[in-house]
Amino acid sequence: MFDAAAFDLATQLLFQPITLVMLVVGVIIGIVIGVLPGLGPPVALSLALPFTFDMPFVPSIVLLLSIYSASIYGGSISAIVAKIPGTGAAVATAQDGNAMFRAGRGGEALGLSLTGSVIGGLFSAFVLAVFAPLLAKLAAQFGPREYLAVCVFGLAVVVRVAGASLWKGLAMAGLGLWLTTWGIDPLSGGERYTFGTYQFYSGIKLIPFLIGIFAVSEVFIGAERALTKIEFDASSLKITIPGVKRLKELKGAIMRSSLVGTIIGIIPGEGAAVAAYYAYAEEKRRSDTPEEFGKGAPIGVLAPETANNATVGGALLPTMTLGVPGTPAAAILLGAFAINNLTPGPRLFEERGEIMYAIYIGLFLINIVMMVIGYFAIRFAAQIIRVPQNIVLPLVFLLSVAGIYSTFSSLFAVGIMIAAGVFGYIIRKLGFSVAPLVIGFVLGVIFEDGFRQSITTSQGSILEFFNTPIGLSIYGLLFLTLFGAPIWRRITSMMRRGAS
Amino acid sequence: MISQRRANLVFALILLILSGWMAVIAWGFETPALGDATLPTKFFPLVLLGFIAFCTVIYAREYIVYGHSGGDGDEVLYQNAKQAKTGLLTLAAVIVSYGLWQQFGFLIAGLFATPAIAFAMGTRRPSHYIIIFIGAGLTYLVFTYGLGTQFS
Repeated sequence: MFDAAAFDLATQLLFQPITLVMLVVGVIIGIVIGVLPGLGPPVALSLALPFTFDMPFVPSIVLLLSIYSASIYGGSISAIVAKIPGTGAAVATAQDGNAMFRAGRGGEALGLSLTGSVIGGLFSAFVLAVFAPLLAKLAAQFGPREYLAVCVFGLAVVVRVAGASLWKGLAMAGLGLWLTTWGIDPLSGGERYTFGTYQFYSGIKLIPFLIGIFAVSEVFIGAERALTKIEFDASSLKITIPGVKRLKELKGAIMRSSLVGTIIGIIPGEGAAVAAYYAYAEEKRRSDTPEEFGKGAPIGVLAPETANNATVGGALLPTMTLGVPGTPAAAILLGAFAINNLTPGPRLFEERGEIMYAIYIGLFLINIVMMVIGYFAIRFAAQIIRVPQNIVLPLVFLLSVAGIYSTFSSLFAVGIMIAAGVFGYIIRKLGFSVAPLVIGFVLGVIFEDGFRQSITTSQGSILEFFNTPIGLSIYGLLFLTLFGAPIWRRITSMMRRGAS
Repeated sequence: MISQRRANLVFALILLILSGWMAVIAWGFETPALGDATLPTKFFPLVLLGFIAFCTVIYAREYIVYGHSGGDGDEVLYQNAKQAKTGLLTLAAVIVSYGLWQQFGFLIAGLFATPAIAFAMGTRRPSHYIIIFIGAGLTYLVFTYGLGTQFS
């Protein structure tokens, strides 16, 4: 199981000067982009991707992972200081974090956020290192039916949690899936929606679509609130790291939130925002003083921040073992693998073990470096919130178009990105959640291939889809995820009624 | 301002028309002889378009019958005319800059897009425009000389 030679090679690659520089640069960039309102991990990763083209794989993946982890943490700084969540993942932090900041306990809130983020990140990196090789072995037995089950699971769960309207979420998931049918049909070779241009032969490309949906639509949305002045008391910008005694008091919340974040990260389609909400709600439910949540409860900062950073390692688990990204940001990381002609999956674990070890160890290092940089750079990082959006957003747009052109050398790809951005803007204005659209798009090809190949091998019998232990387990898990809580509530209420 | 209800109903109508149009196109997809072993090429697009149309009809019905879908009955698309103007002007600036890129290249498009977006956002301070121009120039230099991108 443990490959000493690969481990040794991974440490050599990681401790090369270029990799260490990328690690530090990535953490700084991640914090800066995370602090800026609206620009979350997917935007940060998309903007950084073109800069990794000429790099060897290990420094480039370390750079991207640093940006990924640090941008989730960075979102909490603006949430606490100005009650403006830098990322969706920090929305749950904003209430209690800002209440603590205004009550003169900003240092404590910032310290809890940093410590929670680092512990959550370390925990999920540990889970990744332990379970990824095991899941990779299991994934070697995956066929079309199992991949289909994973896609159904991801789509069903993301639609359930995305937005207030189930039907709007379902329509977007369907649209995301449908958009992946454009181009040459990979199974039959037939043309679909090519509109007479060869540019559509390979379909709508993932990266321009994602950057359009996340970055360009944010330019339009952000433009509407661009001139809002952000003010906060800079004199209370200091950070107080909780001591061992305090951490012992909070260990239950830390462990639960780390676990919640890691598990939610593993589920395809879920993300840091869902994990943060879930951890926050769980701690509020368990608390003896739930009325304090929203008014400056320290656990209201610690729990979401621990959970959202714990999604990083969790999201990498299906990404690296199955090639199925756990989050939109992880989908962009797949782009880094593709650029280096690497295909995530069981074979990569066997043939390029050093890459996997470099990712595990890299994640540990990233979190340690984030602790140091986060501690010393908090005052500077918080000031970034004051950079006017009307300066940031035009440059984000320019970086997006330049990045896409640099990646694909195609003006057509830029057009796709802009079209996706306009569409993203429209649906966001209309109250649709973009998550089902994005996950539908990310999983679409695997979903269709899995379905069609399953139909072929089962000679048209849908029941055969369930005639696989792994697939059946995934569907069982989906059933429990969707209906477990209501069924459990009904059972306990019946038991209570019976007892009374 | 336009209510979410009205805007969503218009969007639902557009989605239904597009679904129908795309279904007509999909109906004409041909499966090459080699692909006969699997489902026809048109199968998946048609199923998905049917699914999209079904979900759209249901959510449109929610707006018609209940006045909302997911509790957005009281919301509006834009808070005020200024917000609408900002969003739509930014949209226009982006689309025009894409057209300029096709005609005159990246540099002209970039030099137009960044100040135009800033202007659409309501920027009036010259210092902000200077910073934006410097940022745009740096972006061009980094991509051209740092990453070796050959902009058309």
